[in-house]
Amino acid sequence: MKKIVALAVLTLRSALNSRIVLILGLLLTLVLSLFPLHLQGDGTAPGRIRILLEYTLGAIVTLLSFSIAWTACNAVAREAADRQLQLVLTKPVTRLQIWLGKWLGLIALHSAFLFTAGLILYFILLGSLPKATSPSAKDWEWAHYQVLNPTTESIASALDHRLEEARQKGQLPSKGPIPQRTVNYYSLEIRRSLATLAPTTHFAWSFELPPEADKPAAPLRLRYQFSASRWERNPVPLVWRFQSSTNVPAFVLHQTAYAEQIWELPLPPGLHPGTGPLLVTCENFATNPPTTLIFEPDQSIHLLATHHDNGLNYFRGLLVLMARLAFFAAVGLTAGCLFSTPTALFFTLFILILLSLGTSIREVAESGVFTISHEGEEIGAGAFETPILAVHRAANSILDPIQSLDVIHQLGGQERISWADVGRAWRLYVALWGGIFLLAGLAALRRREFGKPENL
Amino acid sequence: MSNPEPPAVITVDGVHKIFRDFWGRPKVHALNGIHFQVRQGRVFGLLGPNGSGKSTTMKLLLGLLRPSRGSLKILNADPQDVGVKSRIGYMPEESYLYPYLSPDETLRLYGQLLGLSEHENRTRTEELLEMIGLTHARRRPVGEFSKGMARRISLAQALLNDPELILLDEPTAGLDPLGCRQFKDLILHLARRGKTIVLCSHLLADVEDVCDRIAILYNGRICADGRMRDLLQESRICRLSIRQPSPALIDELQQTIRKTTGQEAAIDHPSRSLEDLFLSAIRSAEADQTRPSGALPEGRLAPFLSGPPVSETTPPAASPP
Ligand SMILES: Nc1ncnc2c1ncn2[C@@H]1O[C@H](COP(=O)(O)OP(=O)(O)O)[C@@H](O)[C@H]1O
Ligand SMILES: [Mg+2]
Repeated sequence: MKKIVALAVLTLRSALNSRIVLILGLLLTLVLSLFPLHLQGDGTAPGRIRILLEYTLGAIVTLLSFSIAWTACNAVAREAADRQLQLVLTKPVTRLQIWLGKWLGLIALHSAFLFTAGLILYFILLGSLPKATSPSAKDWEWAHYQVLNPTTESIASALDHRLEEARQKGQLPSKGPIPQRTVNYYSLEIRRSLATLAPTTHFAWSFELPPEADKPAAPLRLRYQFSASRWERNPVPLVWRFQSSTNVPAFVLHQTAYAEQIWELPLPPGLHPGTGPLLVTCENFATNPPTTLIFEPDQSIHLLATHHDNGLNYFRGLLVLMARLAFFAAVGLTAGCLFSTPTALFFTLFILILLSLGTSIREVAESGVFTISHEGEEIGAGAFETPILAVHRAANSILDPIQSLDVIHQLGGQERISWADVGRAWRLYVALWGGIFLLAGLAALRRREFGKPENL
Repeated sequence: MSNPEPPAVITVDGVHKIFRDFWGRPKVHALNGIHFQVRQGRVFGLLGPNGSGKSTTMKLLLGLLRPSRGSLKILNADPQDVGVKSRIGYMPEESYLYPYLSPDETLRLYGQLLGLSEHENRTRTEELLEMIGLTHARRRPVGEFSKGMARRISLAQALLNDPELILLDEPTAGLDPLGCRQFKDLILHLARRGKTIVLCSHLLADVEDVCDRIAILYNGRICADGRMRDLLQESRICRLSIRQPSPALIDELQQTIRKTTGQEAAIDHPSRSLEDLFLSAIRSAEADQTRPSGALPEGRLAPFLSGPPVSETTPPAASPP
């Protein structure tokens, strides 16, 4: 352990000695002093929070990611090139100690930067929030929310039925497997049709709420958005009904709302007794002119559980970001064990960029490379498409879980980051991927000969 | 004298080293099947011209390189064994130090890596800095040092753990002649304490003064090895030395030799080696001047290195496996 600490301190010293840390400090100062001044937002507190956190924290994390990737690459590759590693390797230290020591040193340095910059940003945010319109508004403006989704209904049987129907109508080949993207298309169609509200009809979503979701001091909020069959400037009258399964009378709310906007309704406390589902019903009263409403599955309606421990939530967000930095450190270190500096840098930057390409990779993986149709007939995956698709699928299965941890966006949207999220991030970034890169790095350290001759 | 041979500390058996390029094609055949053994308590010299494979041999012994063929044992262990490294000291040919660390920090770092206790680390660092005469520069970064100064730190880090086996790669390169001499004295002192020392050099004078066994490497092959005395002695020739002889005495001696052996005796004046001359000049200058900066202070030795000598007749106990 002592040796690991000694190596960590050495790595820290070497990083502090290089110009990059100086430049990093300067850039961070610049970001922290300029961004908050120029990003004012739309004048509301949530708007200010979103723009400040997404841009400033985003810039900070990007800077730190590049810096940690760079220093990690150099940590081994430079020392191998300058032969200092040779002398270290003649001392009784294991390769594991070397890798871990360097990793911890890099993490310590960049975490110090992350938490310092994060803390400063937090206080800038606190000090620059616009005045709340009313004391009660402040309670929700300066809060964060756990986004709760309705339980998705099983549509498996409906889907089977729909596919069979399509086969019989000759819309699908009568035999053989159906491509996944066709299945996706039909399932989306079914779920859309479920939440399509003709005038005077209604639809109910069921929410399984955690026991602590509806607290007296922090009641639930409803967030929704819909599309309308008519694109007109008049709002649509809606009736919302909230009922838990117990024999409490339903809470009813009348509202007129415009389509295509995000609406948030504060709900009274005590709607949910703590157990059982909460049923949320929406009735469409748009009869004059008759308008049909469409709630997109998965994204149109949420309940928000309010929390007020913002500082802690922010801290948890930083912990997730720290795990991400630790992951980049592992990538860079192992790249440095495998290759010399330029190659290692190239490799690490490639991984960094791959991570930012995650969404387009997902699109290809899910919907194929070419979507050419020839006279209504889809051309199946050709000899060329199949391997490309396979590569994208494999990349997506790796990148997708990493992508889904978009903490900066969550913090900007005042979303709650739970300890479970933090745990998931650390398991994924540090335990799983850190571990994989550690093993690769150890194998490289063990195989590679570091006895470079003098004067080369 | 019928001493049993002390145990072997280093065994090199049929070692080949072929450096290959990225595609695995052989580039250099640096070692070509070398064999040798170094026994405990010996000062072993590896001689050879530049590029003959001396450093390669050292690095193979330290596990920094792996043999292409053959096997090496060091202190009864594989060179890749991490545990055995705490009993070895290595001074590389060039200084592989961190340029931003001061001598103080450098030695503390290696002390920590060697697993020395905090107290031990501090006192040994102190004593070694004193010994190499760099206490005055202890807080300056090593990157600013002259080559000779860096070499001294390199030496100090090799001695931090009071190792039983010391590998020195071109130890006197970059040292001034005074430093060289003190260095050789240090080696002899360590040898008297029963340490095994392997040094490689192309400077013959260094090797001649301290080694009791040598191997001469040429092109990756050992072309001579054995005890220094045996290799150097020309046992059929004898030399007489007389201080300030009169011409008459020389004449008489020559005549006697000619009469009894029929040979002509060769007469010349032995000259001092340049090293001796340089050293005596420096010493007399030193008597009334301050010491040139950076020189190794005369006769000072880190106390933790100055244990009692191991006597000739009792071979040191075999090292634990
Ligand atoms: N890592 C290496 N890669 C390629 N060639 C090497 C390497 N190390 C040493 N050599 C070559 O091996 C030969 C022996 O080198 P070395 O052992 O350093 O010689 P010296 O006896 O001068 O110490 C030289 O020709 C050198 O170029
Ligand atoms: Mg050499």
